[in-house]
Amino acid sequence: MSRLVRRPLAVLQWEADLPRSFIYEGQRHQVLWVLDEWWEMGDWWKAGRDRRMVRVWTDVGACMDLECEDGVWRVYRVWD
Amino acid sequence: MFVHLHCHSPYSFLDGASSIEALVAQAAAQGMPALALTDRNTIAGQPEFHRLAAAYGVKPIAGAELTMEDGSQLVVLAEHAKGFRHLCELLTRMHVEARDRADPRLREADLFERSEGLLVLSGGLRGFVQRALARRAYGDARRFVERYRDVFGDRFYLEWTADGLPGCARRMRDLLQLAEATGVPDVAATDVRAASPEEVAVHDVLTCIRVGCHLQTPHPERPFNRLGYLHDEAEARRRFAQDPRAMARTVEIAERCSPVFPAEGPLFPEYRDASGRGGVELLDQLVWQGARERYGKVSPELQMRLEHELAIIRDLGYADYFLVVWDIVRYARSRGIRCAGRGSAADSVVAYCLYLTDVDALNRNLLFERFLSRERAERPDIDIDFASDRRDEVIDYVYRRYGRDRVARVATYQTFRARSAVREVGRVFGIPEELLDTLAKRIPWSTHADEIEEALERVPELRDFQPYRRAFQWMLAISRQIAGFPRHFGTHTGGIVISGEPLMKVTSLQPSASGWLITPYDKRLLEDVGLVKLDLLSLRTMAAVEGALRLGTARAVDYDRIPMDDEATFASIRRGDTIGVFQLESPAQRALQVRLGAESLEDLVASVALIRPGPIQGNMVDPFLARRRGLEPVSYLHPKLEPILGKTYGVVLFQEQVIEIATAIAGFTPGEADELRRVMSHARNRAEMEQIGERFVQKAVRQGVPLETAKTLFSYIRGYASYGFCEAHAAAFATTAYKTAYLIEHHPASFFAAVLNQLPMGYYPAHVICAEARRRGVRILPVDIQESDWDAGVPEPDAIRLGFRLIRSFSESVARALVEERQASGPFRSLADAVMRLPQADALHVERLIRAGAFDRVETRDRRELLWQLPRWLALRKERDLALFDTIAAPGQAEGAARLSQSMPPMSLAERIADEYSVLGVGVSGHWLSLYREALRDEGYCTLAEAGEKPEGAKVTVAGLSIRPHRPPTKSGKTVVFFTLEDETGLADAVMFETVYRREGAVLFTPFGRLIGLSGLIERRGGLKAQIRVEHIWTLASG
Repeated sequence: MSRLVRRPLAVLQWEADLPRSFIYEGQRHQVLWVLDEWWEMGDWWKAGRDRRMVRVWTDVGACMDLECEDGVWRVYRVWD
Repeated sequence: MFVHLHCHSPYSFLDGASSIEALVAQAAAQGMPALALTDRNTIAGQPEFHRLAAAYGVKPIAGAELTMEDGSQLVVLAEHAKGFRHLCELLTRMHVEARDRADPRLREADLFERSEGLLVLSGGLRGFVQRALARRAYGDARRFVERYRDVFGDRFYLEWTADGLPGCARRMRDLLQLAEATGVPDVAATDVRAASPEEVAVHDVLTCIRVGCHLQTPHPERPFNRLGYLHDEAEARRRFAQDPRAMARTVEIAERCSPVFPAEGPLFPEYRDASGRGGVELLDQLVWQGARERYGKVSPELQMRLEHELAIIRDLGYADYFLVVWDIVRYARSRGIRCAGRGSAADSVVAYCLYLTDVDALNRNLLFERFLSRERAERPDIDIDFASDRRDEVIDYVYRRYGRDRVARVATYQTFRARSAVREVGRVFGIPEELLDTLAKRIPWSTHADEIEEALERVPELRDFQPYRRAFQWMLAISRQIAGFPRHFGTHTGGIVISGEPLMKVTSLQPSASGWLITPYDKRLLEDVGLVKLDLLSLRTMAAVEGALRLGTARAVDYDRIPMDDEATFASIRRGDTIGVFQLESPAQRALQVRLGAESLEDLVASVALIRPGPIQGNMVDPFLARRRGLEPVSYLHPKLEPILGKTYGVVLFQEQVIEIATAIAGFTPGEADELRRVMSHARNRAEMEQIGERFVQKAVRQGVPLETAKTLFSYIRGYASYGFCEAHAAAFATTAYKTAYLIEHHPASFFAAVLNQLPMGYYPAHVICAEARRRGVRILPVDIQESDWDAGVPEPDAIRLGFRLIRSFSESVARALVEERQASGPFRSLADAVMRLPQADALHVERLIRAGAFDRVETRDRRELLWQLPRWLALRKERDLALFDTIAAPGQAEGAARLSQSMPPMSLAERIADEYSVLGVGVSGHWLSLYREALRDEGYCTLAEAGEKPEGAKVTVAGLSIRPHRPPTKSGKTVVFFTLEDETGLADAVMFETVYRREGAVLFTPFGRLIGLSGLIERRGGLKAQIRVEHIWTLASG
């Protein structure tokens, strides 16, 4: 099961162009593994933006999908 | 370095979003040494791809993406000519054996059997390997790879596609492991559907059209991201950083492959007759023999001309080409199939002596080099018109004579135009169907998909759609981008290729809907491949002529000996009475004839060439007419023009004259002149036209021509562009035009009956043909169950009996059964008798016979009553209760029928006429307008016949059916609408200018414009025939 959250995160540290550690809802997460990565096309006919998605596993045992749209990173989905 | 090896163009049909030129240009701009084109299950784009790749300095690699039996896809590249031949054979087998023509599949065994010369890439996510890896079936993937490795060896590659889809990283990790484990190299590839990321949106829309969904609907076929574009090397390095060798292999593969066009060696067959003779020797013999037959004796002038032509034909190696065409025409003539050559071939005296054309190029002083020249060395192109109803017999002969594996029909591609783009793209954006339908129907037919926005601004009948501009924004933008993309594949009307070697050396073949095998190449590009096209066209006029000669008084006519100076025929043409005459029947032509006053065939040649967009836009019609009548002096912009334009009164009328002007004024070499001709025949390419224009002006000035004169002269050429005829072609058409005019003038019933049997043909529908026949004193007899045949006939010299074929959706087999039954068992006694004796006729057929009035003579009962009785009789026929049936069948005796006739009013005249128009396309009980004449008179309307008697400038108010309103191009760019009106007294032509059209004339192009009233002024423009200049126009339809 997962929850769609689409909330902002604060990147603390980068690795290449991906967040390596970030704070989400007051908790610090360290990315242990990038499980998957993909790109999505937005609803272009409604001026929807394209986005990059990464699925990460963090040091607190969280699995989340992070999205990057126009250079802004957010937590898109949190997996149970 | 990186090379794209998996690339789709619009020939993948709704699965490629960028033109071939855009793809090649992008590859060239990115410095790529090569590019592969791999459209899905077709090589249709390869000729264009090879041509453009050569122009942009990119090496072309031919290939295709093939769909296998299980639905997975593989990319196959041709290493060299033999590999390409194998690819062609595989594609042919797929298409020929396909259960569903739209979804051909390839058997793996077939691919393995023809593996030589082919390189195979395992395919992207639609390929078997990646599909198996995506579902974690590693074992399946491995077995597949090992199987292909064993067959293809070092010609099989695993396609590594960094497609950016979820799971891609894992899939590619597994793929690289598989490569390691099997020893099969991986190669970097992007499944390219667009030249740039922006155009992926176009691919999205095209995919929605293909799978039939809206943009709001998710679908696995739709692009998930924008990564499927033709990216550069830097992007490739980023995507395939994990294994740089995979990128290097793209270049290695490109180096292994060679371009496949043009094919090596000549492809045209060598002609040999039954005794083994052929080549130049046979051609010489046939030509001199034909010359003696055609001219009586060979004069020195004729001898010199023939020797000149034969020398060029011999030097260029086209003797076999002429012999093959001669052979085909000879076959047609021997079977009594009427035919005539058209186009530039009529510039040749050799063609005339071989009976390929009927135009005497010697006495017309036509230039052979317009057809064939040493400098151009291009392949000759002879087009032959055959009677439409027998043309396929000729094509059958060609297949038999030259081999079924060496002959194929040519493809034609219907491309996205404004109407189709609006319907299909609009639907994807969720715009209501009804709105799209109304919009599409009102867009002028010729509008291109990239001109819709301009049409919304310009065309008055599209004014109602202005409020939707915002909603249409994306639809218009996408339509602009897909303009000209192929949408449907079909068979070209007459194009055929003949090869001396099996065609599959250079092309695949696929069956058309009607079973012909077609090469997928567009006719324009066959020459690039090395193939030679013949146009064996089907001309309904030829079939109409043939039909007329079998009917009524025309049976006595020897068509080939029709006198070419018949005064009655010319008088009729001068009156503008040319409805039904080949090429001279449009309102513009009829108006021209009245002003021109044709006296000889030469005038008709000019007429055919004058009413073309080129001369009209170049404003050449009025000066030509005025000069011919001596109302204005013949002047030339430069003395060098006099010998070129003398016979057309200083006006540029024929394509040949344009070429001669370029040579005489600007000193163009034959090569440059030919380039000008090519640019002219692609008139939409403005940039090329400007470029050649600059060269013309520069060279003309260098030759001493004043700058302004040179510029003015080129403006004539530009205005003329491609829209003119060559003189030879005009002469060929004019000959047929005159002969059809002769048949109409002296044998109208025969000719118009034959025309009715060939509809749709020419310019007018059945009711106009019948109106014109009546005007000429021919009686139109209705469809009659006792008298009619499938075809219209001529039972008396001045009468046409309409045939069953005119009845909408009436089957020929039912009509034939009806006639056979009538001949075998005698006339039908009643409707019920017919129903009983014709089990082939279902309810729809009998209903249409009733509504067309076919039973009026045998039935005393009204049509309405017959329609009410019909279901009961059909039910009885089904029950085969013959005894009861006989009782009821007796006219007037049925109890039910008696009750009905008392309770139901008979069908009114208006209802009968409405039914006849709807079922037959022509009123036989009367004319629409006659129903309303009394009321119209009360409101001040006069008939068209009365209007025609009024003096110049008189104001008239008339009503009628509007026929063929159209808006030809004009020099000023302003809209002029020409149309014809029909009422119960005949026809009249009308013209409406821009102001009236913009104010109230748009109604003509809407469903309400069929029955109209108008007021205007009578004009005669130098002739006797009246034309109405419209001042006001309104609909008489109730909606």
